[in-house]
Amino acid sequence: MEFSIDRNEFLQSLAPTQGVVERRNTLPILANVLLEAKTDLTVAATDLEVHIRRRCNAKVKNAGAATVGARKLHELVRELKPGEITVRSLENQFVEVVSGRSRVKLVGLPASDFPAFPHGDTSTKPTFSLPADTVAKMIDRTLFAVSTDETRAHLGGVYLTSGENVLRFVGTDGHRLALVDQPAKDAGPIDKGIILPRKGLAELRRLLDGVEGNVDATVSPNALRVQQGDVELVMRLIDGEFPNYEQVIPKATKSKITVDKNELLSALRRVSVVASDRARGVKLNISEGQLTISASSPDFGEASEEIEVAYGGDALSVGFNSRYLTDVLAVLPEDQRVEIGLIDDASPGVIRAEDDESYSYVVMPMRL
Amino acid sequence: MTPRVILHADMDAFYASVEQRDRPELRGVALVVGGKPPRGVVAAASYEARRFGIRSAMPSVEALRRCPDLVFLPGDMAKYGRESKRIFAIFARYSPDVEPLSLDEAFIDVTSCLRAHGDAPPLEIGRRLKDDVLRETGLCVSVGIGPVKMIAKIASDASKPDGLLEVMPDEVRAFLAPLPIGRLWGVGPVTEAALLRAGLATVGALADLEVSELARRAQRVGGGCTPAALERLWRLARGEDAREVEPEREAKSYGEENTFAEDVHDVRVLSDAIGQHAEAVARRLRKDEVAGTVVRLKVKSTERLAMPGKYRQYSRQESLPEATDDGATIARTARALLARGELPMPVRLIGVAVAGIRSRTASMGEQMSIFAPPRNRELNRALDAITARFGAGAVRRGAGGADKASPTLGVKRGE
Repeated sequence: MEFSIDRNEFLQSLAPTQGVVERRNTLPILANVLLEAKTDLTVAATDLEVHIRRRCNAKVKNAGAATVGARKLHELVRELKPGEITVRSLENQFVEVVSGRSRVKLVGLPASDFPAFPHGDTSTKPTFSLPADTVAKMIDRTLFAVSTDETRAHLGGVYLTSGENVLRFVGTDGHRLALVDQPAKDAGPIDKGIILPRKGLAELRRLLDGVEGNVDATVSPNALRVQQGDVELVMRLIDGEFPNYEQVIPKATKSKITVDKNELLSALRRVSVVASDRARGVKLNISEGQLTISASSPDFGEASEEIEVAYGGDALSVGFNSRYLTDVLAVLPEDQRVEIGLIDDASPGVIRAEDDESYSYVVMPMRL
Repeated sequence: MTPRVILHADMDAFYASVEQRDRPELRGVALVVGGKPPRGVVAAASYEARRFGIRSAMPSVEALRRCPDLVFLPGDMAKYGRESKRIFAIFARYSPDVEPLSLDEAFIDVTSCLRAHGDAPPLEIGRRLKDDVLRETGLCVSVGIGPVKMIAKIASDASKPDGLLEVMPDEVRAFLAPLPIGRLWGVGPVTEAALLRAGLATVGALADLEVSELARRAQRVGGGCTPAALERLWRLARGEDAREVEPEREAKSYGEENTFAEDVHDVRVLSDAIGQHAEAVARRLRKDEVAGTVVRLKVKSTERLAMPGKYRQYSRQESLPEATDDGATIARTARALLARGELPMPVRLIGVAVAGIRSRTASMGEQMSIFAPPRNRELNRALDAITARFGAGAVRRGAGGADKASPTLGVKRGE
């Protein structure tokens, strides 16, 4: 195998592999990238859960394939001067990278040992096709709520389901739940709903930064295939039953306040400074025209802050983990007011951007 | 703060020594207490037997292969229990702060009563303890002394048999440094392998790390070793361990079990018994204002083991994402454990226990769960009130199946 490639083009292909390669070193080959030179060059990486590959422009002199450590290769190419790089495979799986006067031989592993990229039916129409920034927003609004608890694998991803001309993303960790409805013409159908793994979505999200054009996604029985420009990403679905999330979303909330988002966010950040480290509990006290946020802990002290809000109902006091509140405020649009609907101190609260039913965030209180 | 003086007293080959004391003809003889081949297991081995590489928990067949003249004794748990009481009575004279670890092993914190010992040096206190135990029971105890529990225990292990070893606070680092990493408390085989791969073969290698290196190292160790977990081990490796000797240890688990009057073949009967035990355990948890994160199921089969009165026993456990004191949750988890894998039918005994106990009142701010509505809490409160007035069994959950008179007999409160 031998090819020449522009350093920046190569770097751009290696960057998305960095998050995918296996960190735990279970199978050495999974720490490598596959370089496959045919008429052009394909760079691929996988941890068997997420597969990613990018086709890039290269002048192929000799077709062939090689694998080499993903991190080392990325590290090296990043340090190379702009211009053309020549890459060729040598005996004993070595891969040589030549740029200007620099000549580096990297240890490789046989390309034949590299897991095959999952074959998918590429002829069928994608399950949905949406602008990259729309998909990015859907991920941003749900992925943060997903569980990191490995014993609850079924909550370790975002649930994707479809309705008539609508796609729904749901993320939850059992304490809070985020739900996005996105109009999508001709989307689906996704029969039972699928669970997209956290890692796959995080990698997909990374690809979408500053990207234009559409993302095409195709659902198969055990994987989601995504095509965006030159990049193809396949993530294996989480096998599990997603909880019945619809029943935990309150149909109506008794007390509803409307408040400026930035004011609320910065007040929460100030007050939670003195909240206890672990629980980070803050109390929301609402009374006519006023929201009081307070926190205290024996170790750090106490704090409270008042915010004017539109509210005319009964006084109510509910405790929350402040991080669960700041998390959602961080993904809501800058210039919008937010609505907080509460029932009592043991029932879920609902947070939405004002006049926007497409995104709901449900959060359980904390006993304080 | 003045360093503490903690003794770890551990009887030498306890069961075997009791037998050798009572039967002079067995002195100097390689013997084990335990079941005979082919099915038995070694429960304890005399020092003479240990010379052949025989260890407790070894299959008796293997032990006999190593020492063809090995004498097998069936063991007399009642007698060992009596001896244990006498030994602990001696320990209690040395300090009120005695934490039993097993029948023949305890931590004794003498820090608060050094004056009562005439301000004798710790080593002298240890020597007196050994003398008292030998004179009054005819048995040998090894004593390790150190400023923290782990050091004391490693010291007694290192000194065995008939040992006495004190590790002074300023010797702790040097004492621990050469030990293999697996000797640290909390390092099991999996963690040990991970630490070895990360180049941390000895306690000293870990202790010598800079605190700033820990997070990065934890990543290299991998295998679920979080930076916090590594830091805890690192502190231990430096001899820092705040754990105190706990005379009356809080219950580590809450368990209920019953032996059936007749061996049970019907899974529904087992499921029903699980439901009752789960509710009883949950009631006790709520009464003590605690909750637990681990549900354990214990099933005893009718298969006899070589030790008299012993039956083959199975236990399975599951960790819950959040601590619970809810009988329905405990029952659901225990039933799932029952369904996991094949059962040794018929069943003689079934038990449900909850471990990973934490105080509910102490945990500042309990985060409520979105999928377990708090109505269970209200229901449990009502159940507790009724049970308090009318006794257990006055009210039961309906979902447990047929409410027939269950074959419960002699419910034993575990732990």
